[in-house]
Amino acid sequence: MTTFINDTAQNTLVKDTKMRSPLSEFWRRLKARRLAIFSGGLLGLLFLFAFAAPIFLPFTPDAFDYSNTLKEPSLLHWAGTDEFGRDVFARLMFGAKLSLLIGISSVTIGAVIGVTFGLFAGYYGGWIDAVTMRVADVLFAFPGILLAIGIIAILGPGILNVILAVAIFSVPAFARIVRGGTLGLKESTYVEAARAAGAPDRIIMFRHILPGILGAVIVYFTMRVGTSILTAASLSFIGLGVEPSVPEWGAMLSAGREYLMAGKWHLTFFPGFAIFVTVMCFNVFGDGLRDALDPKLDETK
Amino acid sequence: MHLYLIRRLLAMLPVLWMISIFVFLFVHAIPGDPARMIAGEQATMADVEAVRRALKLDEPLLIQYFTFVKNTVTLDLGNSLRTGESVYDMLARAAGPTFLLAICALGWSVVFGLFVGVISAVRSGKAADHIGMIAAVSGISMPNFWLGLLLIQLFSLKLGWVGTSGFDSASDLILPSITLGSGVAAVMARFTRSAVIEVVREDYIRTARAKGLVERIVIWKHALRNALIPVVTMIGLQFGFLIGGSIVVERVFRWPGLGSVLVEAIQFRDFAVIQAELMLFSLQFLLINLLVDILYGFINPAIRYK
Repeated sequence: MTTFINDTAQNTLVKDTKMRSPLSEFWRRLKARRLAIFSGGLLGLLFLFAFAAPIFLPFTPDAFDYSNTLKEPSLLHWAGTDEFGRDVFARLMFGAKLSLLIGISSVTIGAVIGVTFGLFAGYYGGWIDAVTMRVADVLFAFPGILLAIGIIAILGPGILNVILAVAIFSVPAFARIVRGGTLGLKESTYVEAARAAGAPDRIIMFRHILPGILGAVIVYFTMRVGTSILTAASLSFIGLGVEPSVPEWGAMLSAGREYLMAGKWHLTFFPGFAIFVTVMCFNVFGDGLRDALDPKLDETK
Repeated sequence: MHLYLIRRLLAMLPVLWMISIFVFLFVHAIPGDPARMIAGEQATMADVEAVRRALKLDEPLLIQYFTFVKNTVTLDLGNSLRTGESVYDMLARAAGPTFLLAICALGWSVVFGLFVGVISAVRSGKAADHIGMIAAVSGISMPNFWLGLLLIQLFSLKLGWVGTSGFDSASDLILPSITLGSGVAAVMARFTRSAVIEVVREDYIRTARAKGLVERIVIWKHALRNALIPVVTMIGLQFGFLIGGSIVVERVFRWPGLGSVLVEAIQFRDFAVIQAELMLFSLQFLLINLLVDILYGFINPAIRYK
């Protein structure tokens, strides 16, 4: 991350006289990755659809219609109807809103906590660093879904608890990334200058160091949203997530499997496909952002 | 090597301690009166008191903790609050199927992932690489419960080759282990690819090529062996995620394993079982990490002396 900024700054100085800002350089690299741009566009569409669905769809997600139960997809019902005659497509769109909400809010919570811990650990070092990173290591190594299940076991199911459960396992990864970045930046000249000018630690950490590592945080944020949506859907699928009646993708799949034997494939196919495409878009878009920001930055290292 | 082993074992202790406190406090973290919560809303006062005594919630916290540690170490896990069955027996019965499933899934996915990763690295930028990596991204993004249902639909319902659920014969292992391993295979493929690409740039690979070795030997023997060091760590990490994933996959195939027992226990708030399961899962996890560390020490002797 830091090396990238330094490298390009030097390269641009040497190669051409016109200085490119890091942001336009980043944008130029990102544009070259068509798949990532495509995924980002698809995500934008999903947002738009999810929030505009009530305007253009003739059905609401909860409208029962007992004369039209378990219908296969048709021109009227794009993804068919479920056992209560509810329009599956309308439910999918509502589920999109829910999944995006759960994914983004849980990662936001995880990021805020993780970034704060990471900043403190990296900046102060010593025992704060040792304790934080030791705990982060244990949490990081723990399978996220198991951690989430443990938290649900305490708090009970429900949307809010799912968000919390999924948020917690994002914390250690953010803490790690930010700590690493902070370690590098806290010795840099501009931070030293800020310190010499008498800026308090809080200002140095959040106003001077944090902007320098924000890029890596945003990249990781994007990738994490996909994983979080997947985890939340898994929780709902095994009956430990949202209430079964809520049109969440995982819950819809779980309800739909009862009709799989009867050949009603659309009740499981569409929700699963929705999860798959959404998570994939977040992953590919995140990969693209990462490569555009710094080809060397790797989540697995 | 002995010293290294002892050091690794000692390093496990604080982690084990942290986990034991977490699992112990678990019951106490339930909002309100845990005994009342566990017994249920319709329970009589006597029922609630019975639960309190059964979980020893009426004793001082520190004493409770020591009893908990003592009981866990001596494998006295108590009885299920729901069925009254010994928790030890329940877990012992469920551990076999889960272990079998995890091993099968890990086996095929590591071999397959390594293979695809090496091919992608060798053909970097070519069609085979693109196909391999698109498959890998799909595998990572694919909800495994959806994949499981798709497989059931195709191979059980349509073609009738294997059963839909349960564990009655060896063929019942096939679909669950494919489902469970798909994510790991994808991660392994991606990781191996980048590890091999990095190694191939090294001087000794150029030397191996320069002295006229066949490319096949250069890649599979020289490059892969060195790329394997980070890959082994990755396998250990993935095994943990496999254990987590097995909870979901067991639900899809109604597999009689630890995951099914855990989910059922949570739904019925059977805390004796939940506690024991969480402890077991964590322990499994630590042991795997230890195993990876040891393996790592074997592959890379320099680590032992750090």
